[in-house]
Amino acid sequence: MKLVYKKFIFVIFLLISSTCAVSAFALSIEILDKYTNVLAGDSVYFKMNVEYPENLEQKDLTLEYKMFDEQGNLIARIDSLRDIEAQLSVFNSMVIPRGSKPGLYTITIEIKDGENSIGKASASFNVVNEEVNWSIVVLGVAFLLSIIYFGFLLRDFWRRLLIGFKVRRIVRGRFEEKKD
Amino acid sequence: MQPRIVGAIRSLGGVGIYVSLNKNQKRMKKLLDERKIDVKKIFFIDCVSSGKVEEDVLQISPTQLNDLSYAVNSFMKEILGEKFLIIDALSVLLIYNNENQVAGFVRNITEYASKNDVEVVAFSAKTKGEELLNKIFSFFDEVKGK
Repeated sequence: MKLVYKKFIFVIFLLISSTCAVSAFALSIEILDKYTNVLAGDSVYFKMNVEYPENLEQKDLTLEYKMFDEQGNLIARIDSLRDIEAQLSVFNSMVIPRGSKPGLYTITIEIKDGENSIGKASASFNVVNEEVNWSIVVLGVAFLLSIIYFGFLLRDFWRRLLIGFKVRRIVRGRFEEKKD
Repeated sequence: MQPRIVGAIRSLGGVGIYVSLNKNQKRMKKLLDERKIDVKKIFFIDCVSSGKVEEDVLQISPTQLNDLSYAVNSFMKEILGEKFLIIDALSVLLIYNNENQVAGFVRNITEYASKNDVEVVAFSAKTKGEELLNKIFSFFDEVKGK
């Protein structure tokens, strides 16, 4: 009776483990620290890790990179084909479209074997406004003001120079006429 | 005032610098010509005309007293020998400048003229700018028709 009971438990266990087979496939994406806050038009760099131990031979898999805005709209997409064996770790980038508004954006990677999706992973980053470099603005204004100031100084100097030149021309011209 | 201006020019010797504030240079030249004044002896600074003037006429705005002063001094410097300066009419400058500015201009001119031995004759309408005239009387050796 005990033996029958033990065999029964074993069969049940075998059944459960065969129906609940867990895949060892793992996919992750990580936005590099420097690119967690980026400007529209710039590129965002990320690291992608794939662990696929069941895959014992090289296989062509489709990698779909998609970028979504806060509202879930697809704004950029890259599809590529990669040879993947058991493991892959790669750096990649996507360009944030110019004109993208500041906010939270998401990059999603989906790996497909033909039409079948094997795995999906996402990571988020922020698009920020360009910071105004106030020191350059102040320097620019100071430079402009000094140009205007020196312009006024030079204007008076230039006017006098012209007057002196005209007077000389008139007087010398008249005296030359007299000689003739 | 015109007969007095003509009389003054006739009495002065040498080459003249005429600052015309009342009439433009063409009219003044014609007037002097009619009175048989040798206009070739006179250099005109026209402060009245707004358009183009003759090539041998210097055009200065009556609002630019610094430029006018510089122009007069330049003429005095360039003309060698005996020379004189006529300003017709000082009170017109009050339309464009305040009294102190005009007084400063006159002082500047008379100082330079005195250093360079230039006779200065300035005309002004008696009824205008009396306060100005009181300020500038001391810059001149003689004041007629006070």
